[in-house]
Amino acid sequence: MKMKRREILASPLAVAAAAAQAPATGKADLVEQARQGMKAGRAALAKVKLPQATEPAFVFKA
Amino acid sequence: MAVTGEDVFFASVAELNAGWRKGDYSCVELTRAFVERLEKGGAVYNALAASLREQALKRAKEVDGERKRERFRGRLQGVPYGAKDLLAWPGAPTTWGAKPYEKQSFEEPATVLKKLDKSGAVLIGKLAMIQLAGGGGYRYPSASLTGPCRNPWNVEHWAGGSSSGSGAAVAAGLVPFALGSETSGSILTPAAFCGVTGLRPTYGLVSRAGAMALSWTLDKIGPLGRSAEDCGIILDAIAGGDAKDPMSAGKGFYYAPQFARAMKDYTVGYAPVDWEEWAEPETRQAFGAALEVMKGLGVKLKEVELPDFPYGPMVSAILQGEAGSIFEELIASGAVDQIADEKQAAGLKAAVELPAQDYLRAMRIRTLVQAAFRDVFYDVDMLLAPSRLGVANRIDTPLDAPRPRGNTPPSERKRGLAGHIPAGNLAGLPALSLPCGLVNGLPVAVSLVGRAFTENALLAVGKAFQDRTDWHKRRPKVAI
Repeated sequence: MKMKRREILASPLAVAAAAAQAPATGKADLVEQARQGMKAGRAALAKVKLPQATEPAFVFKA
Repeated sequence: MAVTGEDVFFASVAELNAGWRKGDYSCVELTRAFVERLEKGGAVYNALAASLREQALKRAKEVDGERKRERFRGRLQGVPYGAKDLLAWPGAPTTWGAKPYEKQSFEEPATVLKKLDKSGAVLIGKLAMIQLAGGGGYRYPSASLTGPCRNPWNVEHWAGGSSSGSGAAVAAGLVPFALGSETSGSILTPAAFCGVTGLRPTYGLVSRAGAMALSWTLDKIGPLGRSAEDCGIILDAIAGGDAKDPMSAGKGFYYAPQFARAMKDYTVGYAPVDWEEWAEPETRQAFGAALEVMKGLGVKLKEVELPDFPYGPMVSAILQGEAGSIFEELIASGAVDQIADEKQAAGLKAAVELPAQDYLRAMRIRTLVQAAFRDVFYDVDMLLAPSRLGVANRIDTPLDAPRPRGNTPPSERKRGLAGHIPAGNLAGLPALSLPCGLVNGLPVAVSLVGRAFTENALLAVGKAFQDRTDWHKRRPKVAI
């Protein structure tokens, strides 16, 4: 998959990275920044097409 | 005979064991020499959490007694080593690198340390680590009870994390080998930054009983050593099923370089974009030279790229979900505010709010990742990529600051294998980091990533690479 620069910059990862770089002054700001990172992550996960029958990977097999 | 000269501190475990068996030195002499060096050097690099001098010398005396009785236990007997301070060991604190746990101790040793003790290796020190192995996401190399762990190649730079002390101590010859742990990059990163060889075993191959849990479904314990061969010998001693680890695969590992296939029989997947574009410009020459050495081994190279998944957000969601539960009491009690990095504390506080839906979605996508990797490995035996795309960060620079080139790719590009660390950890795959050059005096490394439980194949190719290069034998100027 080729990504254009503007797509990369708009990707949730880039949003999270930008959020991480934004200056935060207090502990509450840092928690809020972490929440925003989680939100960006959620958006990235939501883009994956997931068949309904897919179970969580709790068992690892070789 | 006394332990003299600098060479002994950079000898392989096989050489140290052979010297002890021959009687060149006793285990007590070797242990004392290493403990003294570890105590001095540990302070220089902030690599030491606790010296185990008295215990170690007592144990070394017992090991010497075994030699007298000709009771030989294997290739690690008589060899001193260090362990990341998240592994329990009685008679010493196990701090997990974090202030709230600085007085914590355990009576039962971690299974891996028990196994090494049984093999006759002598634990001489607990090694520094990023607090809580980085759970919550840290911003500064100083996120540790022992301060920022300095890189022996340049003390203005970081040793990498979270197994920081393990990487620095091996690089500076303070210990012949060390144990570290990896949830997502914590063995490969310090191994690459410090110029030592690091092995992340397949998930479930090495017991985590007695180790701090950060993520039940991602944590692995593995060695950092002088060479691929040393890592094979160490893995042989620590691998194996363990009823005390519910996720143990119940498999053992026998290091068998004698049964390695011919190099021409291996197909190694790589992505040119990693070497030509993802890698930071100043490192490309060194990485390119490493790729040429790989080609020269006779392996077949085939272009591949990682399956398309959001690996970073997946690891984050799984880590937050599991670490938020593991450290629930620390967070709820407010003791989390005692840790050294405010961003990390905030990350842990936010983690408890992660919806179960996000965690389960990440774990369900993980099933697809595992299936996709099975497909990748139909065509190739292993993957090859730069361990990290650049050299170690400066100690004083926040880890989320833009790298010299910037955090975002400069042009249109393919995925390549640049996300191999989160991807390989999600799929539970083994990886071997091999030093491959020095850039501005700092090490860089390449990683081989293989199918689950194919450590012998990675070690065989790694050993062949190291037979043709000497990067793993280079030493920093140690200021002790």
